[in-house]
Amino acid sequence: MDLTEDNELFLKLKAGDERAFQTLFRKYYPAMCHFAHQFLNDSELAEETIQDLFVKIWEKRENLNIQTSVKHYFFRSVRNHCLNQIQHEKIKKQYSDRMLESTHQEINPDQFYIEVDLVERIERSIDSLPPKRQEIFRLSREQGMKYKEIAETLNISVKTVEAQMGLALKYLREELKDFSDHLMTLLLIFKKSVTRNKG
Amino acid sequence: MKANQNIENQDWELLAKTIYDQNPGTSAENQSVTETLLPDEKERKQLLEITRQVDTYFDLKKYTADRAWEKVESRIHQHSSLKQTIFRKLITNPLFRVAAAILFAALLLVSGYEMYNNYSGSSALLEISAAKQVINKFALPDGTLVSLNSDTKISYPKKFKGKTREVDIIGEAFFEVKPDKNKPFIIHAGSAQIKVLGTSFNVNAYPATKSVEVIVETGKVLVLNKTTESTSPDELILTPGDKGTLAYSSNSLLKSTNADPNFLAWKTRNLIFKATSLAEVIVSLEKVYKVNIRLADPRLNELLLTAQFNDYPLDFIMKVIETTFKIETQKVDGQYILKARS
Repeated sequence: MDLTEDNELFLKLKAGDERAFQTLFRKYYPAMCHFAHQFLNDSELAEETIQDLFVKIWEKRENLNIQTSVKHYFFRSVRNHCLNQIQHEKIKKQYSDRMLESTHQEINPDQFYIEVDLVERIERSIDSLPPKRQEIFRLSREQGMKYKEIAETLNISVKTVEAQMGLALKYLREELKDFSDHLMTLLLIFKKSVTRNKG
Repeated sequence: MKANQNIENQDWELLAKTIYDQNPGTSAENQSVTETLLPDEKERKQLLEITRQVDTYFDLKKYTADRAWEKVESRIHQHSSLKQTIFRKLITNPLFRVAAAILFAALLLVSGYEMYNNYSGSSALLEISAAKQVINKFALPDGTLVSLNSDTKISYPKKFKGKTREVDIIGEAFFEVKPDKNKPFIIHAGSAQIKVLGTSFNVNAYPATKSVEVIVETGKVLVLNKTTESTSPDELILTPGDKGTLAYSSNSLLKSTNADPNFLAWKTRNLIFKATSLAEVIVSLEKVYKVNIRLADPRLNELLLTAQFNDYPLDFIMKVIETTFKIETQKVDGQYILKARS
């Protein structure tokens, strides 16, 4: 866990250290955009919103105080910022239900953020799939294509797509299961400590 | 944990299909399929967690922090520029509000246009800085046009009073000076002073280069060394095509003929190479596109390139270099590395 590292960076940011600010930016920018996308349904708007948010964080850095973790603080800010944005854009009606729902829910940043180690591990696992299998898997997960569309694009049978996707899944599970075990344990410890604190 | 070692490839196919190729509205059905194939709840959860993480990984890849950071960086630099912060502090300061109110009242009383003129022409300096991007052509109060290269700062008065028009620059700028015989235009750049009547020229005065370079496009320019120790004035008159260099190391002014056809490329992005060595090509590209390029093999230095690029993206130019010399480019940590094809 990198909670202390984040907190150190945050203290430096408060003192006006631009490099610390940049490190935090690079670490959380993609995940925060991904989270904002859930509310705004537009990835360009999501990126603009998160950039605005970071400029605001920098401007108000001296007055920022964090109660929980930097990660939680950032994600809560994203939600509030998106809420403002939606009110501003007058598209409130369309998304108000989802927004309302989410304001009552606790945010779980880990639904959107992946630790750097795991990102590297996933990257390596996907890169080590045989070329054809990798291409098929990427078309499915990166491009969001259905099996049928993949088969048409690559001029192969749906049966081949099915077989290759099965092998890809089997391989990825084998490669990533230790890491996932590790994370689940951490999650469990975290949940226990939260319930204990609440009780 | 051993149980699913026995899962057959066929079962993986079915599992993958239910997870990755599901049709809307069949999730209940899918769930029962998954439960049959993976009866152990812990393993089932783990598999779904892995697939969720892999999908999140692909979602996050859509957002790249590099370019976004450049935007945020230039915005926070703009916001923290001297002018704005001072202004903000002033207008939020109650004393300033009172002062402004009194001044306004005084203006009304005198209602003299002259006084307003004097006030707005006060010696307050304005400052414009280009952090990471090039600022193309903006007008100074007298109509002189200036373009700023990145990391460049210029300061000038709100109005040019007196017998001269004077500005300060740090960095690199191109000036198109509005002709005015009665009011010479003077630029202070490091320890050089550049005096002109009406002309266009480029001034390169980045502190890091430890020299000031002036290249003249049209007209006549006078360059002065402000720190000279001798009593006779150390100065040069430059005409079109000339380059004047004030080197800080020797503290001397030198006149030469400008040999670099690309001296303005930071502004125009027009690059011309005539049998130019790859080493020199790289210097130009680094300057114009603000990148780092390295040659993995010193022998590549001697390759000669003849080409003309009018405002092309860097990637295109790198492609041309790759195909011309049959070499490879790699991008590592934002740095381009050129090497012989293996």
